Amino acid sequence: MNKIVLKIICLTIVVLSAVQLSAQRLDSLKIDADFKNQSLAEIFNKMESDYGVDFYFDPTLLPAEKSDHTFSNTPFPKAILDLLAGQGLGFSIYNDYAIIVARESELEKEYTRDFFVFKEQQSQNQNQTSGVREDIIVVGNPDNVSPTGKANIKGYVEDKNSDEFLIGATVFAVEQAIGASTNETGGFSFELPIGKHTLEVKSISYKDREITIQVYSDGELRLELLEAPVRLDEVTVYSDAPDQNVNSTTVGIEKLDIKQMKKLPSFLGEVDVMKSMTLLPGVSTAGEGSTGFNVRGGNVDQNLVMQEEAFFFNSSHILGLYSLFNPDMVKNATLYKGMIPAKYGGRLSSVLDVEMKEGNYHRFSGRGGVGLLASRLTFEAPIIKEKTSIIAGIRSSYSNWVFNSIDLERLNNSSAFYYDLNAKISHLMKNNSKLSVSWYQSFDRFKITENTTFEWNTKILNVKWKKPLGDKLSTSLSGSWSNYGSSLQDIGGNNSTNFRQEASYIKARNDYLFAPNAKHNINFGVEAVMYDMFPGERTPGDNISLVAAKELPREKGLETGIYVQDDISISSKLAVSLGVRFSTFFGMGPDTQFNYDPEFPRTTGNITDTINYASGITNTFYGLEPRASLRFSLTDNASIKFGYSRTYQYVNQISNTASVTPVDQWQLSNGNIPPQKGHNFSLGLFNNLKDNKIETSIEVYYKIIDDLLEFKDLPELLVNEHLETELLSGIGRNYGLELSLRKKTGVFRGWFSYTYSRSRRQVKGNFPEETINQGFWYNSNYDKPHDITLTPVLQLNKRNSLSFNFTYSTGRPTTAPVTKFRVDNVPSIPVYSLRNQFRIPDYHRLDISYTIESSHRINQKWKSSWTFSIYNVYNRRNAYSVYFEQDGFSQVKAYKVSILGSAFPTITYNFKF
Amino acid sequence: MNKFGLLILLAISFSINSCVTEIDFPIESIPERMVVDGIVSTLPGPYFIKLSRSATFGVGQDNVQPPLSEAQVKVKDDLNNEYTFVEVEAGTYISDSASFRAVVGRTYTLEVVTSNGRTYNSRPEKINPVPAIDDIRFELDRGTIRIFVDTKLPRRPEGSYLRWRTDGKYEWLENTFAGKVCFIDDRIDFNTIAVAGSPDFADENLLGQEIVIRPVDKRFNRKYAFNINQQSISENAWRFWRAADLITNQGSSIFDPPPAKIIGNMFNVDDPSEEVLGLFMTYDQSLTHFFVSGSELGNPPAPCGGSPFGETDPGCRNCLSINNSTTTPPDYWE
Repeated sequence: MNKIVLKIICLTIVVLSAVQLSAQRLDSLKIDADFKNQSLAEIFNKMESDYGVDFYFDPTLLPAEKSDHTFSNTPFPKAILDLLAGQGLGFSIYNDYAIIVARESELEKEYTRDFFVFKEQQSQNQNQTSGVREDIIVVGNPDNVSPTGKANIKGYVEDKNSDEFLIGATVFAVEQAIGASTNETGGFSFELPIGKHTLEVKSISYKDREITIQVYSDGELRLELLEAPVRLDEVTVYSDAPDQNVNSTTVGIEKLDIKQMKKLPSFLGEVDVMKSMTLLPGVSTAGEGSTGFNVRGGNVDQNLVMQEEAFFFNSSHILGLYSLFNPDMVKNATLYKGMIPAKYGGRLSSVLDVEMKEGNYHRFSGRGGVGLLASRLTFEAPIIKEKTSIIAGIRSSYSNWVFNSIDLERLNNSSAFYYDLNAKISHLMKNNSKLSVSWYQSFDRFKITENTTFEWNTKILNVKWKKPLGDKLSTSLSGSWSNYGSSLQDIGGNNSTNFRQEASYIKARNDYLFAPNAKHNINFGVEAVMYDMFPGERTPGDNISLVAAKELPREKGLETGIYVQDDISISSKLAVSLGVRFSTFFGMGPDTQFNYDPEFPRTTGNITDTINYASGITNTFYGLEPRASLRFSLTDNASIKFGYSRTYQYVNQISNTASVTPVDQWQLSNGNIPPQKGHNFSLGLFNNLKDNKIETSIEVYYKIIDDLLEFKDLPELLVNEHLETELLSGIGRNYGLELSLRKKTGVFRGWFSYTYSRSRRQVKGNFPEETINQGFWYNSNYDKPHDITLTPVLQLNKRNSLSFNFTYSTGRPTTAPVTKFRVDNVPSIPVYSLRNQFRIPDYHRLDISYTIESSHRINQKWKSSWTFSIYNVYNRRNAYSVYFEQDGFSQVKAYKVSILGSAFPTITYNFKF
Repeated sequence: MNKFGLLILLAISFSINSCVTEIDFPIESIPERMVVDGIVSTLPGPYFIKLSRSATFGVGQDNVQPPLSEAQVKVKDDLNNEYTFVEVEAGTYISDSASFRAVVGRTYTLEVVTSNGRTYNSRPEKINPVPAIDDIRFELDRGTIRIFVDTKLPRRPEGSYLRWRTDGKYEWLENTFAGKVCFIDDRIDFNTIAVAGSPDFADENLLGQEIVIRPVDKRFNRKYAFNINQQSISENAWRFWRAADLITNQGSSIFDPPPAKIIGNMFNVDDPSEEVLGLFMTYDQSLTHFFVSGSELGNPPAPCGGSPFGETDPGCRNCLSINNSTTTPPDYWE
């Protein structure tokens, strides 16, 4: 084929000069000629020289036989028709100088001047340089050059490392001064003349790229950008503006995208959303093996953990070693720990909103990882190109195999297994509206000894529809369904017990975003969650068990919220955000509620009334929740911010163990268990140094919690229809100071956070039985005054990075025996101290992680990296909890329990294609 | 095993093997509290009420409970009868067995007035009749013997609560030409707490309740008697013992609830916030003897053997040298 083209081109060059001179009207040209024993090619050659016309043809199409032709005053087109008769060939005349001879079917195309100019250049280039230069990207088919001289370039821009498509990236053809920006699928399109062009590709937080393309015909172009910080000595631009931390109105907000998380040290070889969050000031956990996390001294259940629009009742795998989020599915995660926007409600402490990726609308790609404990695989692909995409991922552990393959009795009796799978389909509809449907499912089985097995699972279905309503208004409508189930099997003779509980909800919300002008950004909307809880069921664990079966009735409740919030930019120095949320909660029948004699401690013996509701509303609670924040810029690089949130929580997790367990019951508010309420104040000073390369902040916060749930000593919490007799109501004060220093770019970068945080409680009931620690203030289970996190990262070069993570925190409060006594010859019954009077030993740990990435070549399809990490490098046996045992009849000894009590090396191989 | 496997093994075994470590845990002292240890039962008296003070103690220290003397101690019933206890040794007060024997159906309250004038009362404790033991059996399990009973938790508005205290007596044949047989008391670990309450059981029939575990050793060579006291205790006592069981047998599981104070049934009448330790217990009791012979337990080794002249164990030369030993068989001995 090349040969053919080349011949046409050679012809072109020969003829072009003549074209300039003779511009005749070929239609009226008359021919007088006598061709004897000549081939068609020879005849065309002769005509070119005699009449100043150009013939374009593929020599192989023309018959080689020689023949005779005589023309006398024959119109030129008629002559050509005669010559081509019977060959299946036709011709067209272009601009009065060019005659294109081709198969009749080919002749419908209109050839432009640009086509011929390009053909000439193309042939010159081919003569000058042999071989194709690597840095030129070819668009279209060189053998099928667009006859119009113009080509439609479609393309998309992606993050080179994550394959995430980039919205709002600009692609600019420098010579033509034509540009486009990428749409919601990361796609763009424009028309370019065929030929060579320089494209400038830019996206915020990415390194600008200039590439040369050679356009032949319509074609598709995949442009990849490297995230800016990967390049050394580069000024970094962030997806949020570089000074976002200083200039945003919100205080106490932390946004991490998955790329940032991937640069933090991995936890047991895995990137993990929640573990990354614990590096932030004000976020901590109760220790290894504890479900969930604590924000600013709050309980685990006071965090609203969301994926898309749905929320989790339990967000942990293997009791908190990993979170339920598959890192390959995550786009970014935002934690609101100070001012919680009015859009969110229902939890006191924080909101963690995790946004999932959309599948690639243009091409198939995948990624995954293989580790010692677990593996994962994710793929994404267009279903209808540029319209519908899917992304789906699965993760699973095989630590059962690891446990079982080791010949240690202790391990053989323990096991941990989990999987989760995600799928999301996104569809772009007319009018720029978008529909997405996602499914999530996870399962865990955790067996501690041969006797105790926990199982839990989560299922979430989420449907969301987004639509712009004009330039200034947009809306989204979403519906979610979720089911969480957990069980505990405890085998042990007569007391063998199975326990099971469930929590489900259906949620719907409708949000609007209205931006009437540059000064206002107004959010408003409504939300409703219908809960359907199964508080629990106890059944005998085996045939010899004497445990009585017991089942609690289901509970239902409807939580609603309506909100409006306006982000107002008053001047360049001052911005405020004012919002309010009105939340309501309706307990729904059927339900049985008990009234207790207020003159006596709340026990089953003091029930005065039992009220049975067949249906309808059993209780109503409501609250007005103002939210406000203010930012005042001191300089271009420094600001002071203030935030306030009022929050109500209508669903609480009833947990009394050192760690929240998967079977801890979720309890709806009712006549005996009022909702918890919080006031949350934050004040912060934010200052960026060295062109926003270094971010510093100081924040202080103060939280007041009313109707806080606490527990009597040694409460009976499982399957208790009189749960309120085990609960106490108290008040809480959480306050603290957070310092943060981050260097986000450069060879040496890292984070440093220090948190001083107190979490104090007071429970002062009317009776001694309903008072804790004699009514004095005491430390909550999560009071850890000092918390330091240091995360230096050394980017050795483009491919190698070494990161460290050091963390220190004060030991958690605990209760210890202070004396003992003898009754009926039972020699020593321990007497414990006031609740949480003591502390377990301090926690500290160092992790190291080394990542080697495959080379950054643009066209490499399979990219991979190895991560070697050591968790707890110096073998610290951190105490998870402390317990006490009597040594014979006299001495009491203290023991600490460590979950990961020594260095834990892991290797993970990550890949993408 | 390849290198990879070795690495896994190394990693895991390092991590999980050493989960529990003994640590120092300094504990500050707390002010002393009054401790009450008293029982009034349907058995013949005298009944004992022991008063003491808790002692300062910390991890790694012993405690000594100094007795509390010169208190006025009496028990009242719901018919307004009062029974005074007298101090017979420091801190130990006894009733007059001739005038006071508790009976089923009565409710008793302990009252203590200390020498410094503080008044302490117990909650009123009612005595309900103890149900009979329907069956007793044992199981041998890896060198230990486990005793199970079948009984009932009668349905009552205030609930039924049982407690078991078990001790033992065994035959011992010394290795002399005389060949005396002694009957020796065996004190079973008093830390064993066995209770059951109707709130935990759906059915009136309590089947296969485990009440004691004992390692099978030379004491079981000939014949062993488990003397099982089944007691019908009050709800307060049941809560006390159940909490004590929970706390003393708490292990290293991270899911154990945090330990806490055990609330007894004594309180300061004038200052309910004062913490009073201990328990005033009332119960009806039935005693059952359950014999197990060595042959049923796979013939545990004899305590003495070989040449009588070679015996070094004094108990094998003279079984009366063993504590709590007698050559007179108890009247229940079969």
